Amino acid sequence: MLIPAVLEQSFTSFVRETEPQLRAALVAHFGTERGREATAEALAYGWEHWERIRSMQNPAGYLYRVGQHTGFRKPRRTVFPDVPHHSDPIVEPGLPRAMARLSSRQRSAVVLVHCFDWTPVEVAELLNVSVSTVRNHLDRGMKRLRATLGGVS
Amino acid sequence: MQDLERDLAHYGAVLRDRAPAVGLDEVETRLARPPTGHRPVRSAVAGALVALASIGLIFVGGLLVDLLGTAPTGHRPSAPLAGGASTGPAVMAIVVGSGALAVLAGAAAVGLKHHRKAQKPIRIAKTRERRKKKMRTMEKPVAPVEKLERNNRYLIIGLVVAVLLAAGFGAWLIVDNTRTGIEADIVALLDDYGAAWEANDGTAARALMTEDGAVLAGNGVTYSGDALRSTIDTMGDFTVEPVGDLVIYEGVTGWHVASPDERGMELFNIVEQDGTMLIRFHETWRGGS
Repeated sequence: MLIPAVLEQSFTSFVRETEPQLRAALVAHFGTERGREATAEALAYGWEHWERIRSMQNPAGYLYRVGQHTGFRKPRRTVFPDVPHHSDPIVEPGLPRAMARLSSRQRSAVVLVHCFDWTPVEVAELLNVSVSTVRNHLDRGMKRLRATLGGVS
Repeated sequence: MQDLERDLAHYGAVLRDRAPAVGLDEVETRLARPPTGHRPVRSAVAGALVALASIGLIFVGGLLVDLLGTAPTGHRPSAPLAGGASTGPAVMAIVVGSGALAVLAGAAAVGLKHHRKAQKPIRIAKTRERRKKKMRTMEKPVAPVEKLERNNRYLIIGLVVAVLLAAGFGAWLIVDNTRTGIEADIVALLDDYGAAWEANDGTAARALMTEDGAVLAGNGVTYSGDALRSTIDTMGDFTVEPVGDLVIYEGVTGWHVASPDERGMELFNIVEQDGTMLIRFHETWRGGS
């Protein structure tokens, strides 16, 4: 059995490494506010069960699933923040609403790849799906966004 | 024409800005948060929804019974004259049983949900104690066992509400059965009355009427007393047969009963004297007669 200090240290380093990824993935899934809450809940769960989770192959992927379930327990609309007025460079104002209308998987793929600069391989690893599946979600999501936004290429 | 991918990349900066990093202090706060089992408002709303669903079930049951033509509800068309009242109690029992089960299941679900939520901190506490972790949040006291007892109150309240509703169902069933009994009495009286007319038995027909009982015939003449008896005796081939659905209305002067059909209608005023149902007035009206 590991002494608590070692456990705490390993969890702290895990949080430092994984939190940005986990937060990005859950923000892509739920929107900013709810995604951030889900991240904190998932990490709290992670600490409570750290001895078991730390031995998993993909603890971040597991906590992503935990965060998803945590977010679903508090059903609210997926809300992305509005584009700031006078943003520089100019961003299409209808983008947040159009993103919220995508399916959760399409949105995850689009936001993680294009907003957070993830590679499809990284997304596939987190979502526990194949890379081609991620590319499909990405293509369909982008097509749907273009169709919703009309004039945007 | 703007570039969507470029827009998304710029919007990523907005997302990063609006969703800052989650620190360990936030994680600790969530670990130290009190259990979420004690939510009186949510419990009250859930209980109210269960009660409303039960009431809705009662209404649906009532409508169902009416559609099947078995509920004599005073001012609406009710059972056909022959054999209509026999299926009422069975349907009612199914509806009442389903309603009671739904209420009990809802109350049990609400109670169990809170019970599980209340147990969560205890489970966590046991795990923490076993592993002897020394994280700061672990040293904070966990929710006491009384919390579980307090949450059990909702299960008890739910069960009390369920029992009260079941009692209400029972009372409703009794009242409804009473009404069914009155309708059965009226149907039996009219059957006997019709049989007396068919047998040209004026004495028997008069025995089913009050002392001042009268019949307004289709020709506009009112018969009563001995004149009525002799009229029935000598009427020849004539029947009183309420063939349409009975409409029964309970008024201040007894029950007003109508039996309309495509040819016309029979109207009766029926009163109860010394525990016996008697016809006080009978009018027959046929189109063209």
